[in-house]
Amino acid sequence: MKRSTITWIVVIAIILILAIVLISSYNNLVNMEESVNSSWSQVDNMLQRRADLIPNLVETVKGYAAHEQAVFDSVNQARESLLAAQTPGEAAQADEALNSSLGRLLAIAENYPELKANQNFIALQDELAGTENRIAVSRRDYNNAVQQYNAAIRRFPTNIIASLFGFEQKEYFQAEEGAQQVPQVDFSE
Amino acid sequence: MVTFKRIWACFLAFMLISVVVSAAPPIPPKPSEFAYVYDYAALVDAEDEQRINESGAAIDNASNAQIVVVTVDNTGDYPIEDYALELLRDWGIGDKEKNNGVLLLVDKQRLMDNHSGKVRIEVGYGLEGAIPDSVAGRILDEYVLPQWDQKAYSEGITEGYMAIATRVAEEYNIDLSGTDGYTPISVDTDPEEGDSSETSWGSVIFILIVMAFIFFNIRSGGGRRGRYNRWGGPPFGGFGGSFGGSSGGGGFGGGGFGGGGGGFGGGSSGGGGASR
Repeated sequence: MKRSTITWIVVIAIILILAIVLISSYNNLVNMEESVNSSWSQVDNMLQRRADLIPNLVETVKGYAAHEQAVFDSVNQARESLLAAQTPGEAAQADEALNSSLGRLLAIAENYPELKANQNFIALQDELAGTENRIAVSRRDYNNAVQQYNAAIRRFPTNIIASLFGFEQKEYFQAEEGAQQVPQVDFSE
Repeated sequence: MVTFKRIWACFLAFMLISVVVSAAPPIPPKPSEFAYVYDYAALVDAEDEQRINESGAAIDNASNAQIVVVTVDNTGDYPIEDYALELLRDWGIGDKEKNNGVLLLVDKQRLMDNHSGKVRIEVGYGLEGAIPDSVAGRILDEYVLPQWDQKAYSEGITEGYMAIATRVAEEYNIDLSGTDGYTPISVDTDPEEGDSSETSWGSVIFILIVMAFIFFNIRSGGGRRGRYNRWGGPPFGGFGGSFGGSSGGGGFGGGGFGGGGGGFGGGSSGGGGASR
């Protein structure tokens, strides 16, 4: 009799401990997933902001260098595919493409001293540089959050809980990785 | 039992391994004493430092916004953007809830070599509306770099600080006219109105306003010294050896805080601001 009471207490204690572990690691995963989501929205905001700044910049440069149509077109196309990107990988890749065409656009500016001295142009360039820096920062924060989350859902014993409740791996904001998973974005069309 | 313990230990160790390993810029350790100037590279003279501390304290007291100047000998080959972000976040400049910190960071080595990346205004999330990147860029272009071209390093830093302080004071509707060290410097906001004739009119008005303020300060400022007793004491307190990491940065001022001053608020930044 005494012995069975002890057995019961032990069993209940084990069940309680298991329940506590389950609940706390489930909640932990929820928190981590939320932090991934919120840091992604930061990245997304900044990408959006970058895309919003570009038409102004292009218009300003056009005022001084109207004949550089090819460069304007490539910037606009890169901008549109950035806006159309669905996944972090796609967005990262479109962002890289935008980097190179923007680089060419700003290189043009070097040839026009009046454009370089234009206050509006300087301000736009500052906004753009600031946005690019914010993208870099929010990207780092996002990738850190993803790394922690992905590691957590693969680690024992949280992986059991993760598969039980359908927590899935998140994608990094990384151009190379995106290139493996999504079809190549074609800018020449 | 021993095996179980071993497995448990391995398990714990596994759980504790930090997954985020990234190289961070070698910033100075978070100071234990709070000030608005950390002049590790000895670029700011004592009088300017006092002015900055007075203005910074007035803004901090009224709004918890913290504007901090940090000068370093170099940023260890890291981009100044990364260095500034790490420093602002690690020290926690600005209020934790409002994220209203601003960091004016100067890299002495790049400044002396006249390379880009010598200075950055890093703006916390909460002040991005008051100091958008374009304004941060203009502050550097109009008030900091022209002074530095004349080798007036301390003046450039101070003018840049006052321009930032003016922006922040406008944002929070703080009246700083009674603050001794403060000189208002307004930045022309709208870049599209950067027409030459308007600019010259603007600067005439601006100079008149500045002169009026200076005049006002000379007339009425004298008796107010006592209000800032906490900034009294020896202007060169010196932090001594508390900053082991940054050798050669002698001459820290602001050591004479009489306690009661704020501390770092724990603010963060998303990388806003501008660099030159």
